[in-house]
Amino acid sequence: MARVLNQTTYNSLLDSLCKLPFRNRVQSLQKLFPELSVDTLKCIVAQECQKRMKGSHGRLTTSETVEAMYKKFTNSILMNEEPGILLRLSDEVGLTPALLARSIIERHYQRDDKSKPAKLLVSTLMKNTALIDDRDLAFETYLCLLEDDEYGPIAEATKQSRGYEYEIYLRMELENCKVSFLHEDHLRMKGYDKTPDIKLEIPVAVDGQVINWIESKALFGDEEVHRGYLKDQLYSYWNRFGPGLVIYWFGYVEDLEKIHQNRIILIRDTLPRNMVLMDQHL
Amino acid sequence: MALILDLVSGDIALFHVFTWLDIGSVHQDLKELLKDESENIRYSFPQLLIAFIKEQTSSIVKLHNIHPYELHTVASPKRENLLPTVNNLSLSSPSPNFKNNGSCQETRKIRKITPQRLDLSSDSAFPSLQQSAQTREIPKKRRINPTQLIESPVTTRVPLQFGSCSRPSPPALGHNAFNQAQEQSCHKSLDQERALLKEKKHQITIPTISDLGSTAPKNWMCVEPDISFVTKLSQLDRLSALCSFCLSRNLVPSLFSEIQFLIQLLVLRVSPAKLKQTHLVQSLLDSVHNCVYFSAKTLEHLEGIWCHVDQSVLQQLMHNPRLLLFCPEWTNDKLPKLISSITNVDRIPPHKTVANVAFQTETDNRFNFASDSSFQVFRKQRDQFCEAWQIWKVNSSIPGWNMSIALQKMIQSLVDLRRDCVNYAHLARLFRSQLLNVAQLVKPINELEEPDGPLGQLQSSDPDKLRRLRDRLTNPPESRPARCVGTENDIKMHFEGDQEFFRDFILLAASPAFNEHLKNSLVSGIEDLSSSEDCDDRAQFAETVIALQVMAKFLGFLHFYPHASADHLPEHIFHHLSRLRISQREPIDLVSYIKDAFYKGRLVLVIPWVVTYLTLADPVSLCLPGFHSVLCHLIFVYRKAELAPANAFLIRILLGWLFSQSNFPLPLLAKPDDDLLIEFGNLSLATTDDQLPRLDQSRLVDSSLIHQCCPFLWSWKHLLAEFACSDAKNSGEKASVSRKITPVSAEENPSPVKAPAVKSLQKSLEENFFHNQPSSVKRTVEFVAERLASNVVRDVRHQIIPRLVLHAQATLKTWPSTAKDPVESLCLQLCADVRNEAASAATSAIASIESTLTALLPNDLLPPVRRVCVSIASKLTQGKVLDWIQLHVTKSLFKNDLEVELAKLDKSCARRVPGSPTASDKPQVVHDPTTQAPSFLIDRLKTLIRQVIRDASKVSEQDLIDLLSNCEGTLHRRVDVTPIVSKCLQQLTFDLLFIVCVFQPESIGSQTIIAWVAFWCKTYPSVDGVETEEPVQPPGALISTCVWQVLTPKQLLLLAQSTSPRESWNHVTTLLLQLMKSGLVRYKDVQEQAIAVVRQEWPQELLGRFATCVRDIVDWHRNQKSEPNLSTSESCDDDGLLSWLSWFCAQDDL
Repeated sequence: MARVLNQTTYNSLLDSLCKLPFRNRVQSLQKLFPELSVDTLKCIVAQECQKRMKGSHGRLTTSETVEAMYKKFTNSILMNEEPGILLRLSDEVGLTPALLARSIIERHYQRDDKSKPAKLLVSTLMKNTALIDDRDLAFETYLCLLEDDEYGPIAEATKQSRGYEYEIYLRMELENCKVSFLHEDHLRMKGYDKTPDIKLEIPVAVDGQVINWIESKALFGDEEVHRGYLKDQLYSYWNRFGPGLVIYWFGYVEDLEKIHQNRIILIRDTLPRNMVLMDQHL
Repeated sequence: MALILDLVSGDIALFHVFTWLDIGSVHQDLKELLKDESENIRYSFPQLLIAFIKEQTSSIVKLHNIHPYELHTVASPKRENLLPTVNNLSLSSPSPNFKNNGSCQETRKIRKITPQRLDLSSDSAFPSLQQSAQTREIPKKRRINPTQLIESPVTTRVPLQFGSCSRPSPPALGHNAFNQAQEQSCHKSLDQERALLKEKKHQITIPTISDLGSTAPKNWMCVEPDISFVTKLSQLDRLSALCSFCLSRNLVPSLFSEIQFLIQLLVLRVSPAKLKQTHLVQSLLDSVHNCVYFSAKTLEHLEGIWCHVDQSVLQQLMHNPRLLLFCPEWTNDKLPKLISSITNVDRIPPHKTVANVAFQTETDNRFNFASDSSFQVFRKQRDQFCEAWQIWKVNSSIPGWNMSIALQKMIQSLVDLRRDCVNYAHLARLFRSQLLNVAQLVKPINELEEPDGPLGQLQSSDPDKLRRLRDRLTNPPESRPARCVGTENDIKMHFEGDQEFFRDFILLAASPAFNEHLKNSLVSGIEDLSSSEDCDDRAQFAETVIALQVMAKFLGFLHFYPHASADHLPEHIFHHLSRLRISQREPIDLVSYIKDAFYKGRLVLVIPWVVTYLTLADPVSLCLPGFHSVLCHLIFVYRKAELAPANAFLIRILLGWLFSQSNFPLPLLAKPDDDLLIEFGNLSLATTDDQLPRLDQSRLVDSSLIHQCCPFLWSWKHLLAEFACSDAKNSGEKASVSRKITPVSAEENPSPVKAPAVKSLQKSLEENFFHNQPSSVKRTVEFVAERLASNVVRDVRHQIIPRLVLHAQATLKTWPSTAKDPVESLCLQLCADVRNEAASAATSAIASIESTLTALLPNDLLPPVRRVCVSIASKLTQGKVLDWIQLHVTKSLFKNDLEVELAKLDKSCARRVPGSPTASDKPQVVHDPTTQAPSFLIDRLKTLIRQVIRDASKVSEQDLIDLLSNCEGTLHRRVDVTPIVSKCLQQLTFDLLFIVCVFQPESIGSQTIIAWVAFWCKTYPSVDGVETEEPVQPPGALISTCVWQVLTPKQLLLLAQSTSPRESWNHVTTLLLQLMKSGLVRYKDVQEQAIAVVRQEWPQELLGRFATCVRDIVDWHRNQKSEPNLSTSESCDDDGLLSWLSWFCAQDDL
């Protein structure tokens, strides 16, 4: 199953994605792009959703709109509507279920001066909906969280876990390959200011290119994502340690390496098997 | 002049002249000629000779017809405002500024002997094609102020000085008849000058290569030199012999310019038509034939020089048709031999793949910063600096790109992001490292130009790039205003290639604080490298020399930039400025460096950077008394220093170059040796404490290094190549282009720390001990001690301190809260602990010294000597470690950590989530990759819950058992479970079990609940006493953040949806009881939950079941209390409340 897409495929994928309704988009895409790995599709869908939310979240959660949505919600409760009120509302307004639920909770727990409640309170309630005093809101929120793959504590935990899992996996693979390295925690302890996931203590070569560090990313590398990482992390590593490798475990768009110009940062979707280690014989 | 003419046309044996010049003894035959001025003339004779040659050639050289290429390259304006380059063949030209400065007499003397300088450097000498015959001759005496026109296209490729600070030569004082005649002959009107000025200005604006060829005449004729037309052969031979003698004996101030001039004569081209029109003054060198003959003969004689010159220059000479004609023996035999004899040691390091400045924990990590914020800010600064550099690299060659628009804001903000000395110092260090890394090798490669070489390939693969390269070469950066920072009138010091970025960075940053730190950094860098011991390796030496030059260049830039002026300074202002700066101190003590280098035999290392530094000096600086001594030293070195041939050539070419700068106070050059010696002798003799290797006699320098240090040397090749180019019809083939190659860095070699000068008897014993041993012994001992101490310190920093701090942080938790200042006392204890441990670490490190030293020291060392070495090394190591501890292990080192921890402790007391295992709590697990990944498990649980709630899909008892084992596997046998994930799984597993209890009670087996609760108990042990002190009490009646919520409104709502409520309630009651039994839920929690429930309205049936459940709990609780062995604090809780609730809810009429 392919994980590396060329620009054309990627563009047509995004095109079809925009036309699909919000639910079950991965399954629909699978039919359209059977050659692509499901994980890659999931990842692209999730990232598209995040991009969409980044663009519209602010607009959709102004105090007026939240007030309107809250009214609608309380009304529906009064009308004894079927459970799934928030889910339906979510489809209607275009906020993901978890984000909508969060807004509603914020509104529900608003302070006397109509300001938002403490963030800690809201996130505690989101994590454990049983703590919400309003039973309907609690249940509706819970349904939202179960439905949302991108936002909410469960989705966050999944994402975080996936990132960490791949990091650990990478470390183990490197150990298997007898590559000696320091990982993030070591580096932090040694007082490094920027810490790639892996800093190779003895550099290795991949496809004829020497690399000094490896960054693991459990997601799909499109241009926007990649540029973001370049700016915040990868160039910083390059500045300090020289050429390196970034692994997008869920694939990437081809030719992103062009962006780097003369700064060599390789992009792969798995740990290359053809690493050349330094000759240590006398 | 007459003297030279007499000498050349006379028959005095030249041998006598040579002796006279060498040692001053005057032969009888000479006496007559020299009259009584022997000594006076002796030091100025070489300059007199040069002037004579130039005078003799002046009339023909005026007619030189420049090749079209030359036209355009020449037209690049104001390139060398401050650093006039090869164009000044001027041997004399004392400026008005120097007139009253010091020795008037000397000035006058020089004027007398070199009256002809104007011929070469003035406009009239080498007119361009476009100029009419009339405008060519402008009056040389007149001072055009402020703009002076000096054009000498032939002399260099970059000569035109527009608005330059070059001063016109003063009028000759009429001691020479020839001179007077000239003056009379060239009166021109002011209007003509103005016209010329306009024309010049116009020319300046069109210096692009694109119009090459279009304006150039396709065919043109020139006189081909022919040996049979050469006249006055014997005189020319004598002149040539005199000239080559002076050149090879370093009697001429600028070896470089004179050879340049000879090459210009060699490639002289005059169109026959012009020749006919012009009336030539009769002279020795009045024809192309004579000039070429003279040049060829002289060049041939300079054997000592050619062996140091790059092969490609020799190739050019070898293939020069005129040389082939005039010196067939040389070109056909000697030169090829010479070329083949030069072993081309390629010392340019292999193509560098690392272009970044490496992060070194030693110097760059957190310990090198005073505070966290300083460290964090510098992280940003570092990245922004690298970013700016990258942006520049990518864009700088794009026409129209403007650095100040693109980067000024970024640079300014990054430089002053934190106005703190530590940050400035780090930034300066980074700047210097990057500079050395990328900018030090801006130089042409020492390869032959082949059609299939890189440039040839470029022609086919990327012609546009080649064009840009050429453009860049022919129009130096300064002529491309788009790239330059500042206004056009701004002064540009000469930087090439990547160095421009660093110059402009300094200019754009405009941060005095940064400049100061950068100066310090450069000075210390120069200091370190100048006393570097690692120069025995040729490649290392070359790197060091280049690094020093680059640092000196930027130091010079920082120091002299404020004093630069694009204007010609009027005399009174000049004097005013010099008075102001009379006691100005230089950032670096050049005299002591030169003196030191002279005595220690390290001139070859020091002179290159000193010259680089001085070439950036402004005219006022060089006239300051502080510089007087420096320059005298340099002149003395030029004349007297004895070095290995190649080394000597390098420093003489460089010094000659410096002397030919227009800023240079020429009177000094005519000083007799004795005067200079006095300057030298004034200084106390340097201590001959020879720790450093002597370099001057070592074979360290080769032609590639010479050309790297003296890029101006390529102009010889360019002259020849241009000639060859235009000679051959296919002019594109052999175009002389300088290539740029990837820069490499020089590593910094900090000299070992100098011990304080406290001298005890033991100390002097030790000193003497080392003094009588080979110097390597001391170096080895010091090195070993240094490394061992550094390792111990590293251990202390990274192992011992973190471990002890961690331990202390842990103790902080149990520290009696009554203690007044826990942090303070803990710090004190920590200090003592760290010191003890460090001391023992040092002791164990010392144990390995003996074997280490045995391996490293010379084998024939006597055992006692070795023992002494071991003991000294041990002592040194211990001393260094102790020093470090004294300095660094203080209370403040720990204070921050502990306070942060204390604050954290306060916070986490509040937030602590029961049972979330943290990394440190967890026992070491062996990762089992066959278990399910946490993310997968989360996803599965989530999907299951959703399906049960929404789609009522079936979950079997077996499913639950499998899930339980999966969860156990994931949570207990994997290393990639983060606390958040663990918490999330806790929540999801509980939710799932609860929901199955509610919706599919039939799937719950007898042991299911017990098994799950046992699993939770094991995985998420409850932390008693913490969760009750929940401070986050929001206005929503949030009771406890505990996961195990059984009787909350949401759960009751779920229960209300159950299709078999009785079973569901039974299971839920069991669940709650099990949770309580295992201590995960306390009776108090149930109370609180129950109260929250009854605040809302519920269907009566549900309340009834709720009442039953609560009653079961109360019953169980009563039984518990009656058991004597289980007397917790809870047992005395009043359970009346819950009993009442249970009764209350059970009422039908509620």
